[in-house]
Amino acid sequence: MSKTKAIQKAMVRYISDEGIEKIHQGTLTAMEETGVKVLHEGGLAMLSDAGANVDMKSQIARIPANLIEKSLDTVPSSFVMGGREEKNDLMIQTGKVYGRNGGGPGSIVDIDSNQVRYVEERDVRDHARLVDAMEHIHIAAPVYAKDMPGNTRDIRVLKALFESTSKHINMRLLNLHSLPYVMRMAEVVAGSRDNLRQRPLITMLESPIAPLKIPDVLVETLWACGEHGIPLEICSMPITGATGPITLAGSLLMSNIEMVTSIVLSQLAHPGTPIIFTPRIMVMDMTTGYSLTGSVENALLAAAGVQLAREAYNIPVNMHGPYTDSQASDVQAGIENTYFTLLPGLAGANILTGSGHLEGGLIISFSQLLIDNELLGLFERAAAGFEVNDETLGLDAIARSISADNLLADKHTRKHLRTSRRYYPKLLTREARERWVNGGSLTMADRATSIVRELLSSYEPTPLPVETSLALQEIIDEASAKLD
Amino acid sequence: MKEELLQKLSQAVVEGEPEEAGELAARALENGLNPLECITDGLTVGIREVGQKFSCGDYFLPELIIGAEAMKAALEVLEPALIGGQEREVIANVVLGTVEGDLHEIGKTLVGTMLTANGFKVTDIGVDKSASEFIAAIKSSEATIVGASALLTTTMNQQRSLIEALEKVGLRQKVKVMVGGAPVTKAFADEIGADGYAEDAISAVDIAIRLADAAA
Repeated sequence: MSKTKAIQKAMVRYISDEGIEKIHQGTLTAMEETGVKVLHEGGLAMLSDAGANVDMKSQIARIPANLIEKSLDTVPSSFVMGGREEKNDLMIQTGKVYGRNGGGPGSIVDIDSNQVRYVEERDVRDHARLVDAMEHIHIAAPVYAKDMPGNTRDIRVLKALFESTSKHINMRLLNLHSLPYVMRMAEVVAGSRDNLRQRPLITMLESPIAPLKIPDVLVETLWACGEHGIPLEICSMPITGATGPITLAGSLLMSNIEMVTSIVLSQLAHPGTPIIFTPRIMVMDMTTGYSLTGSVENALLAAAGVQLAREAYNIPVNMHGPYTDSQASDVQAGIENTYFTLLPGLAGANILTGSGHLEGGLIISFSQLLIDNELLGLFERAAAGFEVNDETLGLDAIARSISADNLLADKHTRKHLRTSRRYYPKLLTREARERWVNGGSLTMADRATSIVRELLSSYEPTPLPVETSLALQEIIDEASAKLD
Repeated sequence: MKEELLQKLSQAVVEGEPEEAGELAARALENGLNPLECITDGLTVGIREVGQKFSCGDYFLPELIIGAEAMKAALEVLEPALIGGQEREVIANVVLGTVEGDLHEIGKTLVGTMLTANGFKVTDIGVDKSASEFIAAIKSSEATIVGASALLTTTMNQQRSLIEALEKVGLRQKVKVMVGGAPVTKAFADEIGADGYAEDAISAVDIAIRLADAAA
């Protein structure tokens, strides 16, 4: 084990010390004996030069423990992720948790008709604007518009995001050819390559393909991120019983192998590049073949994955919480999202992703975004706990209470009124029934929808300077001329 | 003796034993059994039982898959031995593949298993296949249905390209096209002119049956 424990207050811990050690040793064994398929000639060559046993024909690299340990030593445990506005900067480190919305889908629940339709450019902007307004969501991930040209859709969406939010942006490519343009755009907004490295305004996300495949786009992105000092999220997604072992421990091990291999590929080329462990282990329903996202077993894996990354490697973790298989903002979504946020959250995840997702991350919903924002706020309060000390024990107040009717106006109450933390939810109802009925018997989803409408009509993010927008457009036009 | 061998063949499928199924098939031929009879009264009986156990929740996907593999292993021995005009009865020949630029295979593989278990003859060409590779397989297997899978929003367009390619080589009228994959929707399938769209492996069977009927 290369790193010592550095968790503050992990309140959920499923795996024993021995179990963590076994997973790490299993990772070393698998990487050295079975190897991993690296679908990138340059990546294979680099591994071979560094001492790995590489078969260029089968593209399998068997990586020895010393290379692995060396790479794990240079991965940073904490770093800054910047927002376009410095007030939105994030410190990724133990003890801090941030929210990220669920990005990626090209379909959205229409706010008026409640039907699912394709995402359009206006939705990309509205969505990012809403994220900008969300108190407990700190990182914006885009959704992808169908009415944007396919070959430059990712960079067009990135510009839309820079213009619609001043928070940190998590970006994923639709095409490898967009990679250099993404980096140039980030540099423009940051002001310079150095600025970008000091305070990266974007992180990227790429996935290995289980079982045990590192696709070329992942290697290219690892290296580009390394060159620019941009953190990369390694999104390993084995499916238990299908692309990973059916046992939960086995698929956790598979995701670890893919992550550690990605780390080796990254650190050998650019030691010190920030990497974020971002697994999304799916659970296959063996009667339907569905890859479940919100099941209890998924949540156990999420919590265990947090523990593994933090205890074995001291690497920051991005886990889903919320994650639901429900198609609607209903009770199922509420239940799944809650345990899915609590378990990895209380295990110490640094970033909780998924606000706004429905249907296993296939679609987004603005109302769900607000509901999940509330959930994150509730979680943060739950994670913060409360102090037990002489002051908070309030012996003096208790002493006074024996001869008082109540403590409502007691000086202890008044002293702690504003500091004894209460979370004031915006979407939860506590009304008496009659008032609730008179108000229209609104559900949480209804209340969320009405606030979405308000925000959409009135909320404005801090605008991006016009010159910057123009500079971004120039890059897009250049790319478009070549690619569209 | 014949009954015993047929029974054992069927059991090899039910118990998911590909090696044994292959050996039994060879033994059956050595003992002069009619290969077609081995298929209909041995293998098909077995795979039907697997299907029933799956439907009622006794068997799960892994058992369905290994049962289909056992059947396949026996077919590899028996089909070449079919004499003259003998052909095993299949609902239709199907080519399955994941489109170009896409390495995801699980969904497609599950569809293949379900189709095999339900009486289709499936040629799975694998992942990252170009339209011309699909077309070559359609021609060589005389398929009347092709299923194209895509898991990424970026590779979905290859499903459209496949349909265009089929038109270009004059095969579009002869082959029904089904599409699927997580980001694929009915709306998209309709937009690109696909004949069928299945949300999951189980409904893929119903779609394929409908398409086979239409093609007949």
